[in-house]
Amino acid sequence: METAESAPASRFLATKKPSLGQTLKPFVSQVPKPFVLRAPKPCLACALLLCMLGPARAANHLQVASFSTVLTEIARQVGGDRVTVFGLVRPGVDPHEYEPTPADLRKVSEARVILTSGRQLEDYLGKLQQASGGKADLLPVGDRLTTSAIHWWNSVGNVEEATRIVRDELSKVDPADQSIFEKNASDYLVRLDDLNRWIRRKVAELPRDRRRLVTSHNAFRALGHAYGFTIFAIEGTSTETEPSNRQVAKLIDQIKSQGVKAIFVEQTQNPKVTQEIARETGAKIGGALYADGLGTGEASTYAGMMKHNVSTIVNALK
Amino acid sequence: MRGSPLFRAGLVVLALLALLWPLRRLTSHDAVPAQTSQRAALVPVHVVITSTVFPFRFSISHLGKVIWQGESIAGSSSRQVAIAFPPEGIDLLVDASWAEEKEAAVRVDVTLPNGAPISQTLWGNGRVDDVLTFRSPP
Repeated sequence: METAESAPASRFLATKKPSLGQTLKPFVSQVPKPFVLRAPKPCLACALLLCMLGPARAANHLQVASFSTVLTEIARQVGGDRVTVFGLVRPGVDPHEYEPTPADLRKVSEARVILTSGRQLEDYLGKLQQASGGKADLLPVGDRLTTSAIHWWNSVGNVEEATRIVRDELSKVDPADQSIFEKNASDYLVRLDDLNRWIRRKVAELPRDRRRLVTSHNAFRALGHAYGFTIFAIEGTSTETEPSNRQVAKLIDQIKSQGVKAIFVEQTQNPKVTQEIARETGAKIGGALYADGLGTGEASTYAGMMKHNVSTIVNALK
Repeated sequence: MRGSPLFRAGLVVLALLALLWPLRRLTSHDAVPAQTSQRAALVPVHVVITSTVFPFRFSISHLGKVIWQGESIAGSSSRQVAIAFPPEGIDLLVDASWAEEKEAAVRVDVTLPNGAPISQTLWGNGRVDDVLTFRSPP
């Protein structure tokens, strides 16, 4: 005999568990039909399509690893939104002392193009080649320029040449976006030309017989060649070399005999020796220059860095 | 030595003060200020500006100052200016414009006393504005 209470329980035990469709049926039937029938199909299709295309697009997005702050700007300007640029030497970092970290090398392994300053500035090219496993084009841009200056970016003409080299490299690796790279490079070259004209006008305020530039290390040869400065450097082309007493004494004599009004320190350098020479010669400290690439603030762009350097030099030597 | 101790102390202080100045001169490491470079003397320089399209307006600046500006109805104008001309040469900022928007050239000739003209040319469309460098021939 079944009791009133036991009957439903036995029925529940005897019958199968209802399916999800059966459970939801009463609710589904209350939802307006157009919503139930039309909305999910296109939405799901779109979502599926996006899921499929999303990773594919990211994988195809051209990735560039740059070991120069100036080349990072060039690659971003030329590549626009078609290229992801990993700027691994960051603004304000001395490239002479930089060494890639394991995280940097991971970025290199993802890149299709590796940009370096060249002219033997980077002594870690072997590590980059190893990290990329031969998948990326390693492009030491400075080695392809007509100048032999290590710090080639201190002349706008050299940066214009470098822009064309980067444009051609990106077009080679990603021919589908060649027209975009050409347009972007052309726009950037117009801005570089304006910058060059601005520099020539500013430098023209300084008599040519006062264009003697004394800096911590020999980083302004390209600037001297382009704008008519004679360069005197306390150290060699690298910030890692120390000047000898004889070199310093010779430089002091030159500064005195040539009547140099001001000498300059560098943003990433210890100014101690420069200050000592200034004290010895009576020349003033004309300001701090960005010798090894972009900095922060006003010098965070190439135009800003060049304008800062040229204004500082001209105003101090006038 | 006789006299008031106060007077004697004063004499000692004065003697020390008198010594202070030569002592400071001998021991201080103040450098001789760098000699100002031997600036080139002013020389009369003959400047000629010539344009392929005229009339044209122009201005010529040296070391940030306008040394000559005007309008030329004919194709060419000339003037003598006194400027320092060091062995390294000079930079002149030349700005010229024409009423017509067509390609034109402007030539600037600079002649030093007893020297041959040194010429530089700018090309532009409607306007030119750039720095020209003039160096004495070797």
